[in-house]
Amino acid sequence: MMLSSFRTAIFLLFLCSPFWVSAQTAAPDSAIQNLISQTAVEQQLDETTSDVRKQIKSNPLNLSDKKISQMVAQFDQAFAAGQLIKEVKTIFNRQYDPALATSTINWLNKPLTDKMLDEKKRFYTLQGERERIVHQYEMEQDPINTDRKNLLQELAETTSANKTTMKSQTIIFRSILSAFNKLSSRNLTETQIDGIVQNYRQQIQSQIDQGVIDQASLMFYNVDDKAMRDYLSFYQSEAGHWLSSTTADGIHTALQSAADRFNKAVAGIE
Amino acid sequence: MSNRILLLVLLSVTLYSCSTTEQVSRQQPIERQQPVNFDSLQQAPKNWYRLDEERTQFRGISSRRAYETILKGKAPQKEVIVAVIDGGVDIHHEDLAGVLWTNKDEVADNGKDDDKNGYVDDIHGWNFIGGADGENVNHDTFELTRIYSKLHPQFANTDTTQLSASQEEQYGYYRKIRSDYKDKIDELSQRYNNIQSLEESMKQAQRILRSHYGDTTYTYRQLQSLEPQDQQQAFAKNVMSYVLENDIDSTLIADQKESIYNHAKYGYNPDFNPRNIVGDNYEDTSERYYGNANVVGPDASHGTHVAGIIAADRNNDIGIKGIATSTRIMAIRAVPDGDERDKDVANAIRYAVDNGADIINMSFGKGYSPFKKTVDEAIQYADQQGVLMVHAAGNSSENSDYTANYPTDTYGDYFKGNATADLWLSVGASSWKPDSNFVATFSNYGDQRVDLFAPGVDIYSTMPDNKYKRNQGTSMASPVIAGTAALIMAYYPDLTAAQVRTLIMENVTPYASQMVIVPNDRGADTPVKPFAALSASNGVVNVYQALLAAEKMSQ
Repeated sequence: MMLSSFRTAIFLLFLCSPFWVSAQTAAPDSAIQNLISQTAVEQQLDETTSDVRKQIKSNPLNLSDKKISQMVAQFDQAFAAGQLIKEVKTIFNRQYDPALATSTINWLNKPLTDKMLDEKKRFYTLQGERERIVHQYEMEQDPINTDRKNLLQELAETTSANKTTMKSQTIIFRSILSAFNKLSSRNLTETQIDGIVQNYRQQIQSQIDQGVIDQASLMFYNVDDKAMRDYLSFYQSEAGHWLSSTTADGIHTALQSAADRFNKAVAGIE
Repeated sequence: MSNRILLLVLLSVTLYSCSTTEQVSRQQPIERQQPVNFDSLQQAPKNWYRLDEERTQFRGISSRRAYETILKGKAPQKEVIVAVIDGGVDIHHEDLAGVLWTNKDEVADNGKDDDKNGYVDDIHGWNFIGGADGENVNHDTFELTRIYSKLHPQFANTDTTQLSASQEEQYGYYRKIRSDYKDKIDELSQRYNNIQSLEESMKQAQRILRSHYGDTTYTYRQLQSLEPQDQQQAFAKNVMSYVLENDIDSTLIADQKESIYNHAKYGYNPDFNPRNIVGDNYEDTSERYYGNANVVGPDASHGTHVAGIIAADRNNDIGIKGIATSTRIMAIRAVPDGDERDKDVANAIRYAVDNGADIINMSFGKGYSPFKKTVDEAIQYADQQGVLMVHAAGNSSENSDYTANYPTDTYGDYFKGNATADLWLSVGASSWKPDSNFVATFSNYGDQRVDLFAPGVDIYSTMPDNKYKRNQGTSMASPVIAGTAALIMAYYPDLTAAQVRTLIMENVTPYASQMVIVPNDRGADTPVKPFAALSASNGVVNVYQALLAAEKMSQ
């Protein structure tokens, strides 16, 4: 009887195990997918790459049309959204922590969080782009108060938004500079490129510091201070730190890989 | 955010010290007897557009010469009515109050339609974008937004694998509209960023120059002679040279920002719909009687400027002189801050015709016309009734032979339609610069679709509250032609509208040897074309010549 029960149990375990195993792997995948989509990572990456694409197309160094269109094609291929997000997911998988992820998902499901994240996602939509102009102008006419400013400042510091942005900008800048250097035959050495990148970082530091606060003030223009504080307190928690650092690592890894692909491809353009 | 500066830095690495600044002298007085140095002239005289080139070197329309010669001692034979379909006219303006059309069969403010024309208390015209309760539409959406707003809910989540041929066509149209709409939002965003960057650069440059000169009273000449000692000074010199050459100041920047803001908040906002203010059944395009009698509206600046160009009082020795005399302005409000609606345009045209207008000025236009048939029918009605329609060619620097600016004289499809209104003039804008910049940088043009040019840059005219201001646009060129037609009709009342149109078209000044920069071709190579290739008449209106010909024609 005991044996029979044991066998039955083993049998049931055997029957269930593939599902159990797949449930173990599926749970993080869907959780990761949920985390990434809820926090608008794809939209952030998309906006960054669209902006750079536009600037390449504007052809600031007067390269030939052929070279520019080749460069844009290579850029699109290297920075394809699907590939970028795949790399972000890889980082999330690598740094996955079930307890922190569960806390994060619980937080994501709160109505206050929902409102914040809806605003964040809308920020990257076409209507969000339009509303940014409206809100920007309205804030120029009627600047935000000190409490709000402090709240935004604290949020920026807690999430290290300026450091994350600086790193992303540096990755892209170096990549584009190297590509233009190659195609315009300016023959800058690696040391010269390092110098220019260093100079660039210095020049944009203060703009980034202010820029991240400005961006948050536009993004959460319609959100009250209570929801902002709730949002901030999550990012001050262990789960919040995990989410922001994993997201930043994911974005940087994705951009760096894309930059490497792009520069490798550009090297082949004649 | 900081991506914007990415390429600026790239440029600074490679192109630093390549200044594109031209040396231009500031504000020199005009010596009428001396040759005018157009290269150094920053601003033309206020009345330049009425001057004669032979007499003054300014490429105006020679209306002053006509008054001083052909018309001297002659009395106008008729009172001409010009309908100004626009955003409103300041009927109390010192230079306009005496030249307004007045509906003599209507008793003011008695709440009755005394003349039974369907419009209550329409003393000086009618307002099609107001409600019966007196509220008025100020801002409205652009037509592109309205179309996008209608299609987006239908097609945004379309399963493209399951479309029939006709659905595919509709979906294709939606995609085009969405792409156009997105381009506009991107452009708006870019413009706002550019203005902010300019504003920030100006502040920095002013700080640098203040510390160099000790104060802010430095002149343009001093700035030009500054030899930069470092990158900062070079930057400041370039920025402030550009600012001074283009008359950029904080007011201009604030106005530009506000305009972009209004476009973002209202014009391109698919959720904004002020039509409930009007209270009509908007979908019923046959509906004609709605609106109110307030022809001033919340912002009458554009319409007031237009009306002044046509007919500002010539006998009161104040302000300006309109091109036409013995002319009455019928004010019809149909154009909001945004795109005018086809239904209102059609009704405004019909109102003008039914209430005696000889000429209709239309200083407005848009790229889409969903109820074009309704407008076409009104245009056809005006055409049949002998009313001359004058329309601004548009300010998008485009070739009108390939791009429509509605309304148009062509019935049906703009590109495929064969039938057109005869009594129509489409007007591009010329400038006072007798060189390759003769065509206004913003003006539309077209060998087939733009009939002629008229001055449309630095046009000084009336503004609300007894003010005056320079404005530019084909919106200003169109009333120059409407005023010219009114002047001819006033002195030669036996001529038909068709004859007046012919006189205007056949007596333009051709500037045959003038090569010009084609507006949308501005760029690195700036190719030039003969001015004559940019319009059907090949030239700019000349009132003096047209009146000489009218004299002959009327005999």
